[in-house]
Amino acid sequence: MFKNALLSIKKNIGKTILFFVIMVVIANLVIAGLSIKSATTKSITSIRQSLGSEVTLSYNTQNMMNNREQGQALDEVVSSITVDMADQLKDLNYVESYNYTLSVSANSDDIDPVETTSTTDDSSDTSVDENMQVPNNGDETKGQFMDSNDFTVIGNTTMAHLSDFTDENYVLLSGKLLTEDDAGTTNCVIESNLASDNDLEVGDTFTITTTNSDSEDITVTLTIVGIFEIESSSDMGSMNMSNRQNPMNYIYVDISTAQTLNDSTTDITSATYYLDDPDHIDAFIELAENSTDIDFETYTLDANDSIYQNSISSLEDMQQFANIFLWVVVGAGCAILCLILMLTMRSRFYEFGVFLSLGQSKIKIMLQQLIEVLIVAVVAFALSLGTGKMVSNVISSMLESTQNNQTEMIMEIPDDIGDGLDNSDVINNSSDDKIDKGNLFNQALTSPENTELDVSMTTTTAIQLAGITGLICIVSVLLPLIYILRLSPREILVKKEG
Amino acid sequence: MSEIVLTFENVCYHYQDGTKQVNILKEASYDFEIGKTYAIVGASGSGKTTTIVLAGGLDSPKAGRVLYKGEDIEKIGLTNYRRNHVSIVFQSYNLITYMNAVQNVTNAMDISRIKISDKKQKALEILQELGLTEDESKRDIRKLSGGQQQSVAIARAMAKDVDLILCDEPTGNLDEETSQGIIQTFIDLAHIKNKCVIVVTLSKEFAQCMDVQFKINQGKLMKID
Repeated sequence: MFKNALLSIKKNIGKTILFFVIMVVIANLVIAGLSIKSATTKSITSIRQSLGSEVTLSYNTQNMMNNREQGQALDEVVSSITVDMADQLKDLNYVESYNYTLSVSANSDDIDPVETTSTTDDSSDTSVDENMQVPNNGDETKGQFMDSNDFTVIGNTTMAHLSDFTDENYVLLSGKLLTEDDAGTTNCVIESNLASDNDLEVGDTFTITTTNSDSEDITVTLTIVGIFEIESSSDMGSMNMSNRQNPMNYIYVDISTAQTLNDSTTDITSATYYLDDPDHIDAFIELAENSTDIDFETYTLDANDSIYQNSISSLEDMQQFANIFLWVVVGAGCAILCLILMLTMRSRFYEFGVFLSLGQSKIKIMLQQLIEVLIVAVVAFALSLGTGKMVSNVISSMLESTQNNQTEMIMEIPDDIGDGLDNSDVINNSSDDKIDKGNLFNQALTSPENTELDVSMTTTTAIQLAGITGLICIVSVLLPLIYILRLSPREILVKKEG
Repeated sequence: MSEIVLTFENVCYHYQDGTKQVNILKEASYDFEIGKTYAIVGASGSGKTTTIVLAGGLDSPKAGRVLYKGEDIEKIGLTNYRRNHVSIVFQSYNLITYMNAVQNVTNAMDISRIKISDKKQKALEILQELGLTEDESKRDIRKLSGGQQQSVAIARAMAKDVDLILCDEPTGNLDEETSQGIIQTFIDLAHIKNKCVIVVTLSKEFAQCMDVQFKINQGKLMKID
């Protein structure tokens, strides 16, 4: 069979070249489709990994402000998030880990703060209660406490997920960060400047003091277990920043210590849940709404996944295009090859009749035809592995330019809408999509994973190409052959004579 | 008594022409023996080629049986029967055009799974026996004369080393001199190599050279005495 197939290919060189050219074109288009599909899948996965999958339980600020009467103090409309509430969510499906946060402003008799300005003017801050916090993206260090205290004590269940540390804006210099193992302890992590200004090292202790609603002092002695350095911070540089708003005066403690200082074991500022996959965010929120008694009019579960959703939608469009493109190429490829094979096989009726009259089985006749096409396909496949990359790049460039045009259109948001927003902040108010897009697209476009579609050939793509090429060959050979070989040898020979 | 290699047992064959049934063979019966040559003559459309087609297992009779050495060829399996027990020589030679003469012959050996160490040498010997030189045997088959191509077709039939050789107007496209050589080859195959050769022909001269002559009349195989 193989010998006969080679002889046939050699003798029918014109037909072989025609096949070869068609196979190269089909294989290149298949590679382009596969590469784009693979690249979009990789990008989606990459964006998922880079953006994480956090959901934060916080106040529903919009509802809170809507319910506020004119002139009403904010503390009258704000309801604290309780540990009981947060605990209802931590054991739900999809949750891999969680972090409760509580921020408290405090003073100390033992240590001095890193002074923000030479003359600190705190008078403007004192009119608002210490518990009056504007929630933000689960990062309470950015809360706008307005009091005269010099330090912000930030209680966490664990520091493992804090974005400033995971993003390496803050870098641990010595000791360790707090983990679940530090639960119930008075261990703390402080900033290096605060440590050096007060000659503190890991292992040293100092006291911190807050005042409760009954004007009683609460003092806790903290033990330093870690010292970090600020590499970069968006919270620094404001001329009006108070000492306690300065990240150098942040003191990280276990959540229980923060609760002690806050004189409440029930309240927390926010709870953040880390899910197993960003795809599960919606399912988690739905589950939370259905299986807990949390009032989601007052509180909200913020997915923080707007960047992911925005990035993913264009990639999913591209992935869908790649799928359709692939099916069209495979379908058209099969159709074209079938047509050509049908036409050429008409001239081979004679040959099939002869083989059948000699006692060759129909299966072997089919196999010989398949081998002939596959030999050409293998050469075309090998060539396409080289040229496919170029075709993929051309098509992906075309697609990317289309995507960029779309993005530019969305980016053309009137400047006044975006004014007044801190670029570093991710705005979470889901009702204000226009404002969201202004910031989120900036971030989406600057995210390295989404700037270019990686259409490089992978082993998987090559294997998929081989599979699809093989499938096209098998279908293209079998369809016309089954039509012919269902006839008896006599009928084939008579057709040949006709 | 010679061994019976092929038996037609009440073989019927017909085809539909629109709503009309056209009968070709009607209860045709005969025994064909090894070592003899047979000629089947008859008018065009009388059923000569159908007889070869049914004897060669290229189609099945509508009724009756074709037996090879007493066994129904349907039971042997038509493909198996064609591969191992019968060779057919066609008027139009039916050679594979992308193979040369040697390759056509060795290909037939391969299909029949003949176990010979040097098939190429064996093919050359057979072709030489039929008058083709080595150069001609390796030439593009389309560049050989009609007689040479028919010789290749006969060589292919001989290479299979079967007892039954069927020929459908093998000299139809050949000149008289070449035809004579082909006729002698068939006679030698039967008388020297002990094959059963059944030839369908329009030529009375050819038919008269065969041991037994038949005429197909009204769908019946009738021996001409």
